[in-house]
Order: sequence, then C-alpha cells, then structure tokens
Amino acid sequence: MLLWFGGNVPPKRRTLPPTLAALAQKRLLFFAGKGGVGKTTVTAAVACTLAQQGKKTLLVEFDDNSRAARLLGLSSTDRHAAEPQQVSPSLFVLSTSGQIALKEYLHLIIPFKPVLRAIVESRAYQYFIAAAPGLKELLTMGKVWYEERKREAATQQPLWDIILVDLPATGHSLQYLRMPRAAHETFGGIISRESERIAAVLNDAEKTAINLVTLPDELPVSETQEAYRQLTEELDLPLGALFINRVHSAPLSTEILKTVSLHGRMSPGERQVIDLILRCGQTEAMNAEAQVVRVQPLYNLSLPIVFLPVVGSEGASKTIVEQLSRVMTTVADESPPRDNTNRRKRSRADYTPHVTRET
Amino acid sequence: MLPEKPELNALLASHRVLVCVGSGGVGKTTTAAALALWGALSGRRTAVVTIDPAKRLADCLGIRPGSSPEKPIPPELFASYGLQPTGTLTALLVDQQSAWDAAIARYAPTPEIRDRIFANRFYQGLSRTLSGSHEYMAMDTLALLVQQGTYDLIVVDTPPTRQALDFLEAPQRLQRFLDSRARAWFTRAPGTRTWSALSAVNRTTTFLLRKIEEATGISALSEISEFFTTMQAMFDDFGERFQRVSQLLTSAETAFLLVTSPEYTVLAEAEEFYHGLTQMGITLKAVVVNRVHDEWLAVSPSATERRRLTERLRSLLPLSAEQEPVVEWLVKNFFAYQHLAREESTRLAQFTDTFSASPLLIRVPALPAFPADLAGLTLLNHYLFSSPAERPLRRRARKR
Repeated sequence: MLLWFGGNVPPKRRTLPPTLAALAQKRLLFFAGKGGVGKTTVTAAVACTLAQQGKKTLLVEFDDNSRAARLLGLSSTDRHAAEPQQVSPSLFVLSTSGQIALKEYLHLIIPFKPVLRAIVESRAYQYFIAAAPGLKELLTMGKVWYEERKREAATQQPLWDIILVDLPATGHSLQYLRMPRAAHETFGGIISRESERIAAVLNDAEKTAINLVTLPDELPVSETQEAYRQLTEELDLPLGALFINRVHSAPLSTEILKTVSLHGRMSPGERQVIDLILRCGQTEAMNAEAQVVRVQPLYNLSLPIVFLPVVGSEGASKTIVEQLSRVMTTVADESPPRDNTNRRKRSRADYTPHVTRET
Repeated sequence: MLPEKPELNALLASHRVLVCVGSGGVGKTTTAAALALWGALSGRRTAVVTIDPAKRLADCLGIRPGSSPEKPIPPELFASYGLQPTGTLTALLVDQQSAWDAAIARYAPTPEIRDRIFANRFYQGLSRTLSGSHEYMAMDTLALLVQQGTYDLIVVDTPPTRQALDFLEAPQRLQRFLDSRARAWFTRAPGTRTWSALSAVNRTTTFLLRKIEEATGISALSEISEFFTTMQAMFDDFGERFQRVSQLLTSAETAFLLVTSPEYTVLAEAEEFYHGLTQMGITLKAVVVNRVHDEWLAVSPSATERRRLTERLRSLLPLSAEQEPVVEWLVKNFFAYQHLAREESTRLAQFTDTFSASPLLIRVPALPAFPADLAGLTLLNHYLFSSPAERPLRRRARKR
C-alpha cells in the first residue's frame, strides 16, 4: 500500500472530471455526513486524488480514533502525533481534537510549561473544556484555520495547496461549522476577534466548499436533505459537491432477467454456476432499481453529484481508498446510475444537477 | 472459525437486559428493535431504549419526540403485519436535551431559578455538548426501568461512538466530573458572597478562570457557580444511581451483544470494543454481523473457466445485439460479488480468531433495503433467529 501512496511509480495525472476539478481550486474542503456512509473513506480518496495531481494536500480529522490515518496505513504511534504525518510525497494527515487544540492554544497564551501542565491537569480545566459552550469545536476549527495560514519560510507561499477536513457525523459536524460565527456573536475578548476571522474564511466561496457524503439508502438520504437545508438556510455556507457512495448499477432490468429461460444441455454443476450468475445479476439489478428511487429527492438539491460505485472487488493488492480514488477520476463524476425501469421515461436532464450558486 | 448456532433465542430467554454496542452506521438501532420485537413475540413485556432511530422506524415503533408517557405498540399495528405478540413492545427514546431540561425542572427550587438555569450558558453547553451525558441519560433510563420492574426484557441501543467504550466509561467520567469535592470549588460558601474557589488555595484554578473570562467575555465563574449551587441535590443523587447501573451491567442478568459489519475499519473498531469489554470484565455473548455477502461457491472458477462461462452464457441467453454487453456484465458482476464475499469471510475469520471466548456469531446478509418497519424487522429476525438451514434458499444456493 505504501508503495502506491509513496509513489515509486510516478503518479498518473488524469484530467479531473468537472466537479472534482472545481473542488481542486479551493483551499479548504469540508466533508460532512452521517456515520457509516463511508465519509472518511471518501475524504481520504479525494485527498489521494488531489495529492496525485501534485497538490500538497493535508487531510485533517477530528477524531481520537484516527480512522483516516488508519485507512492510509499510518502506524498507531504516527496516528496520534501532534504534527501532520506524511503519507506520500504530497499527502499529509493530521488527527486532532478539541483537547489537543486547546492545549496548543493555551501554550500560546501561557508559555511557561509547569504552569501550563498544572492548568491542564486541574479539575477546573477539565470542567471548562467539557462544558464550555462550543469551545472544543471552535478551537478545532481554529487549528484548521491556523494550518491554512501556514506559509513556507522561503517563498511565503501557502504550506498547503489544499486542506481537506473529515468532520464528525452529521449533527455534530454542523456544530463545528456553526461555531466560529456563533462565537463571534456571543463571546467577547480575543475569542470574538479570532472567531470572526475563522468565520470569514469559512464563508468565502472562493476558498471554501462544504461537501456532503451519503448513501443511496433511506435514512442517509433524509439526513442529507436536512443537512443541506441547514447549511443553505441557517448557516449560508458555500457548498461543494454531494458524494453518493456505494451506488449499485446494472445495465439490465430485473424484467429482462425474469423472462430468461435457459436453453440447451448443461451439466448440473454448470447449471448451478450459470444459475448463480443470473441470480447475482438479478440481485444487483434489484438493488440498483431500489436505489434509483431512493436517491430521487437528492436531485432537487442545488449540488453537483458524484456517484461512487461499490468498490472492494478488485483484489487485495489495492486498498479501498485507492480503488475509490481511481473511479473518482474516471467514470464516477456525474454519471448517474442507470434507470432500467419502465416506471417513467427519464432523460439525462433529470440527473443534471441544477447548479445555481455563483462562485 | 466460530460455530454459527441458532442459540440467540436461548440468550434472549435467559437475560433481562440486552445491551447492543458497536460503531455508528452498522444497523445497531435496527438490530436492537428486531431483538425487542422477538421478545414481544415470545411473550415478554419488552422495552427497547433507543437513541436516534430512523424516522420510519421511529414511526412504526410509535416514538414521537417530546411525548413522554411510554405506550406499548397497539395490537392493531401488529395485526396489520400479521403478527400476534403474546407480550408487549414499548419503545423509549433517550433525548439528551429534554432529559436534562426535565431534571432541571424537577430540581430547581423556584420557576425563576429554573429559567435562569435554562438561560445559563454554562448549562446550555453542558447539556448539549458534554461528552457522556447522552450515555449517562441512556444508563439512567435503564436503571429506572429495571427499578420499576415493568418489563421482563429491556434491549438497550447505545449511542453511536467511534471510541470503543465511551458508552460504559462516559457515565463514570460524568460522575467524576460532578463529584462533590470538585463541585465544592464552584459552589458558594454558605453565608458569603465569594466562591470557595477564590477563598481556597487553588490559585491555578482562579488564574485559569480569569484567563477564560478575559478570552471569552463570559463570566465563567459566576455562571458555573450558579449552575452548581442550584443543582446540588440532583448531583448528589448521581453517584448512587450510577453505582446501581454499573452493578446491573456486570450482573448475570445482562448480556452484551456486539453489532458490526464486515468492512475493514468497522471490524477494526469492533475488535477494540471486544478487548475493551474484556478488560472491563464483561463477556461478550453474541456478535451480529450485518450486511454480509454470502459466498456462493466454495472455490471460485479460474480465469479460463470464467471465459468459458461467458461464452456459454452468451449462447444460452436469448439476447438481442443491443443487449449483448449484458453477458459480460453478468459474469463480471458475479465474480466481483464472489470476490467481495471471499474478502469479507477472510476478514471475519481473522476477526473472530482474536477472540479468546466464543460468543455466538450471527451473520445477516446484505438486504436490498435495511428494515424500517415491522415487516422488515420480522425479516431481520428470520436471519437472526433461524438456523442457517431454515433460511430462504435464495441466499443459500449452495444447499440446492
């Protein structure tokens, strides 16, 4: 795996499909979605794709469990390091949390180590970080902002070409996005001024895009609609793309397969395998048909959609992130799953996202 | 490889509390609901304590947010699905915010103080974001239910946490957090206008809080103090209640069940759950693996065989020229499926090899749509409780 990420093989630079190409122009990409939809995998795959394009990419995750770092093959010690860890020449991962960010922040205000340690170990401190309204979220966002502002000492160019943030599961992720503005409005002092600057970057459509990740299943679809509503109506943040993960597709309808009857002589063993092949195709076609119906509501959102097929079938030599990254740059972008049902005739236009936002 | 046994029924029959643990997104809530339905169908007064059910599942279980009086699912609803339970099924929703608010309303001495607490920013932060309070409320609900004795079987769906055992450890953390000595720093000393935090030697605390006040503009001290002063009575209760829940969870009445899926990252987390539970002295009784793709062939055909099969299928299927690519797709799809199934079964075998004890292992196939009503739950129960041989042939082609 490291071979691929580490790149003894020169990376192939494919021209990115339009949606990904647009995302590649930003500085900050956030990924939000319900737990279990493969958000971390999708984020890691986008990060790999951008890194392969030669962009110096930082993937940030807000999680003590460091899922992304694990997916990208980092050892457990590297996973918990305070500084970004290198995965490939241009891909770095940083696992951070509110606790770590607050400690770092306090270190800036209180440079004396013994005093700092006494504070961090005190019960009062534990109280405060656990319960201070949104402090954890605010400081974690502050950490992202801080990475965004880092410059190369020699050239004064940004240290990172692009930063991707894997946010925690939906409800909570909006909390992170909401916090800087809320903090600016409710707090006073230094925090108010700093959160205003963070909020300004978040709201800058030139620099930032919030992306949603979902599955073509009932609950994730309705959660995505809700997250979209909050992002557009309440938070008014610039949106990027909607990634629909694990999409089944079939070039035939279940109707055709029902009419199939096998002719000719076959051995029982052969008949069994042929039977299984048909049955398996039938299941996949059924899944695909059910999903086409379930994702319908998502076509009404003003968001370009990236469809990602079910991967994991190419052999153990390739990781799931690698496979997903590959399909992203080839077929996946904006090619909707086929609808083979006769329920209603659909045209390509039905699937074309209505992108109305100005960038 | 662990034996796959139809003994989940026995497990349910011999325990009073079932706790479902596992990562988010693996079908934990649905599995808990299915187990509870089975309990009701087998004649027990059953409750399912759930955190965040899908809307349709919540509707079918009769859960309405904000409606506190618990009502069992009406017999008519069961009847409409052709079910005739001899027991009852009641679903209870744990809502962190409203549980805290209810507690405040209960303990606040006057309506004015209650409203002041509701408006207190420290309280708002605590009740919404304090890690562990969701878990605590679930535990608290469980303790209350067991104490009331209204139910023979209580199935608990735990909050989706990535951190392995947040659910079990969080209440303990919360208890430490609210422990009386620590609270004393913030509580007004009787008859004085100063906080004990200021009069005490703990200068670091005072210094930190001053810094926080400077940085945030929030009068941290007074807000925290007011909150704790008002809530004294409630917090004194916490310790005892938590003790009861802890005892219950490690008692023989309770069984832990791990819900997972065969994906790589999920299984890695499931392994952490397993080790965490073991360290806490809790034996895992069953593992439910959702979304498993069954291996249909014991040995995958070779590449030559694959080409021959494609040709054979082409000659067998009456397809038009336009439909020709379908044959290639059918074969490719089958082999992809077969490969996926093989990988999953390898991963599952590696996973169960790490177990020192032998919990029950139950595989549930990847269903076209995850259950969201009583019919779906009944189907899920079919996979959970029937022995492999009794399962529909559709999924067990090898048995043909």
